[in-house]
Amino acid sequence: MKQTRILMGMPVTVEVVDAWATTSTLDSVYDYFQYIDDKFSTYKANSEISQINQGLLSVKRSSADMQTVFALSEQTRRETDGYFNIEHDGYYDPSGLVKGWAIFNAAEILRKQGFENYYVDAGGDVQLAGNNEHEQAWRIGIRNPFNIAQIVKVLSLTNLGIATSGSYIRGDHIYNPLGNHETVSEIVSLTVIGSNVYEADRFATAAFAMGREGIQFISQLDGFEGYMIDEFGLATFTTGFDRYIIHDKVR
Amino acid sequence: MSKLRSSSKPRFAFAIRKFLLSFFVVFTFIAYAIRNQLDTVDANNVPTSLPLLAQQSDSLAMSRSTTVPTNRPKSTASSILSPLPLKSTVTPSIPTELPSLVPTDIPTDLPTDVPTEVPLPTATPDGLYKDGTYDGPVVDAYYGNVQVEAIVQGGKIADVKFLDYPQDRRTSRFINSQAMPWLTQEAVQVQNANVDLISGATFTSQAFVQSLQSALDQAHV
Repeated sequence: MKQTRILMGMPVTVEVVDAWATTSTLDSVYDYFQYIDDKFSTYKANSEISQINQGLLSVKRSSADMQTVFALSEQTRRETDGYFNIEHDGYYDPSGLVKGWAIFNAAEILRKQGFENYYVDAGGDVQLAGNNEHEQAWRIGIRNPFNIAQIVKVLSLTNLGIATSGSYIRGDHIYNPLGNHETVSEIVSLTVIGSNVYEADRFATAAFAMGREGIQFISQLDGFEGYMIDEFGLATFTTGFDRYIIHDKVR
Repeated sequence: MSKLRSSSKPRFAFAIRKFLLSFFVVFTFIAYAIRNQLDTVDANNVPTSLPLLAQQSDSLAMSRSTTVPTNRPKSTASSILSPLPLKSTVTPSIPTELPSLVPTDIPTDLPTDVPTEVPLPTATPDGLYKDGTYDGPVVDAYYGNVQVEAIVQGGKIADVKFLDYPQDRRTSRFINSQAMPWLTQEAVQVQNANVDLISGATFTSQAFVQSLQSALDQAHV
């Protein structure tokens, strides 16, 4: 059973291979994403995060989930030497962390219901479990940053998380304001594989902000592998990444 | 040369010398031109892995717990999300890019018609690199020397090998075991294979643009 819905401004695809999955199985996952969007969306004036940003609510008195996200954000900020920071000019935007966290939690909903073969994909960041309908590990493509209709790598993954940070749209250059218009568009795509999508996503986000050094940051993290593509179409990847690559080109 | 000088045909020797001199001048010029090209055009490519290594290792040598290069201007995730510098470059692309991206991003929409080469950004013309094998200079990376070799095929960098990296001294080896990036490089190639799903950043990017827009809206109150 597979479905795609647009939530949080992106396509959220849930596929459960186990035969006993029903529509309500998928609904339980989508309901969770809706809950997250209502709480953490900075576009919604009434969301809890907006209340905090408007000074109507303190983090201390916010919900348990909100406090968890703030604690995780602070932890990630420290672990990435400040490259990851949800605070900017007094406003908080934790969406860079919430996304991976929510995908992981959504996948946990399926796992706790006893499902073994599924994935939850929100905007290209994915938590995977078990096998696909062909009873093989899931086959995941890495999108070609220069042509989004194509893929440049085929991976075989199971029981892992994968996340890709990048700017695919030409002209969509990301500047570092501290670096006097220094651009970080020297890399266009950074894919990270980790034990779960939350970990992969937060480190992919932070490493992307580091530019070319990002892949080295990933290579020094235990249990993480990365695949970086620079503006010239040159890919740099960690040695351990190779074991996930499917080298045959035809199924 | 001494052989030539003692030759019974001085004019022949003179011609040879003249030829050698000309060859030397031409060769020097070509070598200089190639070096110049590599230095300027290639500045963002292969050679950067060298200063990169040096930076990384320096920071590790100074503080092993620090995994992030210290001599780079600090940026934060919020700097990615920072609205101001992006304003001019990103905003114009929003109306034209969004509609075309949406349909192609559903994971079921898999590539069917794929060329064998990845289209490079237009800023990088074809034939940027000449085919061949190029050895970089030996660079003192503080804890030892690093030298790489770039192999160019079809105008693109096909492989980058380490010819030398610090492995002599005990301390170097220790630092090296942590700091040497066990990284591999390749030119990306379009794959023609069936996949269950695709990992990509397009929508992250769009969400980012949207977030930027609303951030700008708030900023201009």
